[in-house]
Amino acid sequence: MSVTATPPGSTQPFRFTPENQAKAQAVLARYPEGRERSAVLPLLDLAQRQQGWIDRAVMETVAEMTHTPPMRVLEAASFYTMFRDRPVGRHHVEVCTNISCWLRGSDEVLRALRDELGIDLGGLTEDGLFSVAEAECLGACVNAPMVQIGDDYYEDLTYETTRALIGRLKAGLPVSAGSQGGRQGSCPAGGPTTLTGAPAASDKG
Amino acid sequence: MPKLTIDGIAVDVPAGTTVLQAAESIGIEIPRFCYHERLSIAGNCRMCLVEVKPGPPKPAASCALPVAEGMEVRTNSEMARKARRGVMEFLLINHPLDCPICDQGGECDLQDQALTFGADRSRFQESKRAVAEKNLGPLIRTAMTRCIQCTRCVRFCTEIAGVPDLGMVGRGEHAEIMPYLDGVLGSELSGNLVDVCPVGALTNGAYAYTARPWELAHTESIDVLDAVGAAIRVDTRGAQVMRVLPRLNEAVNEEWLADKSRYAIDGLKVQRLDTPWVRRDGTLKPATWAEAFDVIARRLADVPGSRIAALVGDQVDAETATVLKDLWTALGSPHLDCRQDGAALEAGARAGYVFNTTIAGIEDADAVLLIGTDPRAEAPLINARLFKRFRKGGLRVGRVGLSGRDLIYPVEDLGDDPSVLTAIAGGTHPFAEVLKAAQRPMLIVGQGALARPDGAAVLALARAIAEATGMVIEGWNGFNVLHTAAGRVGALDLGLVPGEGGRDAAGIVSGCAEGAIEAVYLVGADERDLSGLGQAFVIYQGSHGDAGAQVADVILPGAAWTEKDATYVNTEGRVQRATRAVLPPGEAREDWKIVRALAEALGHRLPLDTLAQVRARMVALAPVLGRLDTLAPAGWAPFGRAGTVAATPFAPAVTNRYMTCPITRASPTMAACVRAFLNGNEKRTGTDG
Amino acid sequence: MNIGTRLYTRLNGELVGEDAHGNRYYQSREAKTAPLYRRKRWVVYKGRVEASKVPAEWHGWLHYTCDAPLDGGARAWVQPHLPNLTGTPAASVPAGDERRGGQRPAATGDYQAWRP
Repeated sequence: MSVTATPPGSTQPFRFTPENQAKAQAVLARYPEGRERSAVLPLLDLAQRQQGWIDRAVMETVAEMTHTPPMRVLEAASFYTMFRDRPVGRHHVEVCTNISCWLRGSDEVLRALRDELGIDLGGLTEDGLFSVAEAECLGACVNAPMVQIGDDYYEDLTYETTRALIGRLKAGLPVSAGSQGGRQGSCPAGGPTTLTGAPAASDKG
Repeated sequence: MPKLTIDGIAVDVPAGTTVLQAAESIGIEIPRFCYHERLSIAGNCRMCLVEVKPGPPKPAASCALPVAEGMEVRTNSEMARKARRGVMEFLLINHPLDCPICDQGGECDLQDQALTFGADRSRFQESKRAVAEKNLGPLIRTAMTRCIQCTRCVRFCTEIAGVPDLGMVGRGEHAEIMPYLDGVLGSELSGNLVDVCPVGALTNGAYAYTARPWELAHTESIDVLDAVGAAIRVDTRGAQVMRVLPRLNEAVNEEWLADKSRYAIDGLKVQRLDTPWVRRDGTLKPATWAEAFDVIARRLADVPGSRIAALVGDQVDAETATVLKDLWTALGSPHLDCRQDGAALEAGARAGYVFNTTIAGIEDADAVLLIGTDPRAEAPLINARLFKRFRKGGLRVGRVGLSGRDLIYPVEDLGDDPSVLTAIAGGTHPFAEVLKAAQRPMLIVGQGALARPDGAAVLALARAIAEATGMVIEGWNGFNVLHTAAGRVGALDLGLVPGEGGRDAAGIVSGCAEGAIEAVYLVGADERDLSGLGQAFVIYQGSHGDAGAQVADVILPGAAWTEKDATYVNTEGRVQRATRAVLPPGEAREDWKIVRALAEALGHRLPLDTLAQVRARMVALAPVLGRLDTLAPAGWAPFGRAGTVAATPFAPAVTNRYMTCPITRASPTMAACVRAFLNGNEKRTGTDG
Repeated sequence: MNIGTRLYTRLNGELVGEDAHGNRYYQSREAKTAPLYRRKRWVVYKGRVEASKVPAEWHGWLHYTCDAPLDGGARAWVQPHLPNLTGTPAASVPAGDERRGGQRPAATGDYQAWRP
């Protein structure tokens, strides 16, 4: 039996922090009067950045700000899987397990997460620092396997680089997004295979 | 006017019409689930696929496809049929095979259309999905696994009922319909979800597992539990009313019905008076009709007419009122009143006590002033019309009294003090400008504003506002009285008000206490405090053992509205006929026959022996009652009595919206509604379950 | 038995048998036989003409279900045949009917009556 929606009831009412409130007002100002409903998605995103997930209190606050029935906000929030319906860790690790990443070793990435954090897909560490979730294809197949943590992609992962990445996050050390295998962007992994020579001389010889 | 051909038939329809509507206009029915004439177009069930040329070579959803010049539509081509078969196969993938235990079985759109487009086997080998039941309160029973996600219920709640509490949550395989909060569907029109749902996902909770549609006999009738007079169909099996469904009447209820009218019918089986009762030595004892009339005749033998009074209840039909009026004339008693709540309505000018604008006319109004009325509680269908008007935009609603009540559309509260009315009438209040600026302004006076000592002054004030703000113009009358009693307008038409020197309802009760009135005849009158009748001899006639029966000395068992052929006049002044669906229980009889027999027992043989004679007499007394189902505008004539209006705020006319009459008070379903929806917020009244 | 049937039976009829109630069964004498023709079969009732007086063993024969009448009453569980008694004093009437004294239990009712 599928349970998709955020359950009713929240512990306390939700309020935007002052700076987020300013951002929210800026978002609302983008839309003409009577069309505040358009701001539902950006406001939900803002709230998720502040609180980590969307509970009913967030929905009610956003509904009130956009003059929208709370039900319409719940519909939108439950439609998009990137709005989370349960609490997540400060570092929310989304592991792509679709075919490219799987063929390139996403199972190794999951094993590394399990060894390093002791949690499986859908888990949340006791200190509330990490949570792991499965993601559908995030469009970085050329750098598979990859994970998304926060807004950043971490690509070309192996068992070792995954553990190292998580270890640095645990220790609070800075990490660099992008390829963890040292490759620049999506360049060929073993170095360039074409256009390796100097540019050809002009036709007029 | 684009011209197109549908199945080879040339059609000429206005631009903006959809292909489905165009096909319907020439009698071609295209199967559909999500499309509903009164709801917005969703286009998500895909059952209405048709083949359209010119265009891409693929089927198109006809419900969402506007007609275009030169279009060639084929609704029954091999391509269209194949597409529908495919859609049906998808719909049935997750639909359970529980038709034999489903209440919708026999009147299910999916069942009917599966007969035409369904395959006899499924190619789906995986597990079907299951969806948790939702709690929508005591009226609606859910089986959400049967849902086909047509979203009609979501659109109904948002667009008609005005409570956007239902929604489709999740996506794809996980999509499901659910309320925002469990168990709370705060609409008094929620029963219509059952009619709107094309499958058995939302079914009638009170009717669950009691009957199959093919076992039921249908009787077309009129609802009397509020004064709207909605057209209903009474479904009966044997001697029982199994359910009530709305009938189409564009002028009154469109195709909706208020929950109270739909669900209160289980009150027809409870607390029934099925035999006459006579009080002997202080206790009521069952009796025969002859004994009961004998007791009355002997008790009233030497009582002069001037010491006999009658109080007429809220659901008394016009036939009974006619016979009663003649009997009271014969007795020579002026003490007769149909306004048991004390509303200051006069029987004179008809425009002064009906809903002149008409219910359909609300859709033309552009400014509304509500005076001491809560239409959501008093007449949910009229409130739904106001909401429909509001959705078109440009409607301003002001309210005096009963402020703070949620009416599903925005209302400007002008204050609880009735003196605001004086300001509006005098043109000094800003809302007076709103009304004056409006093309078609209207006001609605509730019974709460009239049923008070200064009610006549309030009525005169409302009339002054109507005249001052241009509400009564050629072709438009914006003065409206909203009734809560189905029999009130008919009784006023027949002049069931105190005669020369007669006492009104309050006067009759106090007269009983003082001894000035020796005998009082309560014809279905239960809504007053009847404890102070003193030593008076009380005859109660009615269908249920309620307040009136408790104090009666003789009880004459009458019929409820499903048990008699009767005429009722709704709040607009529309004369409509209710039809007998079942027989009254036990010894109970139709009410006009009881009054007729009582007249004979009292020595006044009225020349009214058949229903036809009674109706002829009724039309003779009030010619307006001879015009059935249609309305004639009532002439504008003086009514009301100018005076000072006290500063006390208006009291609500309906204190408990689910229990307003003996039938609803006896109904277990209505008691469940009070528990579920009112949470003690509205006062319980009388002898509720 | 009217005069036509009597005459026809006298001219064409061949008596096949008689049942316990005294009804007599005939078939036509003519020799035209199967498959194109079959011999006409009929019954001459004893007393009132009433189709239900034909017992089961002869009913089958009369309707060409079997070539000869069955041996009725040979089995212990077969009850003696009774014609349809509707309309006669012996007709079946349910308990509670006026003809059986009219005593029947008070209706339990599909409604709940008010009691003070």
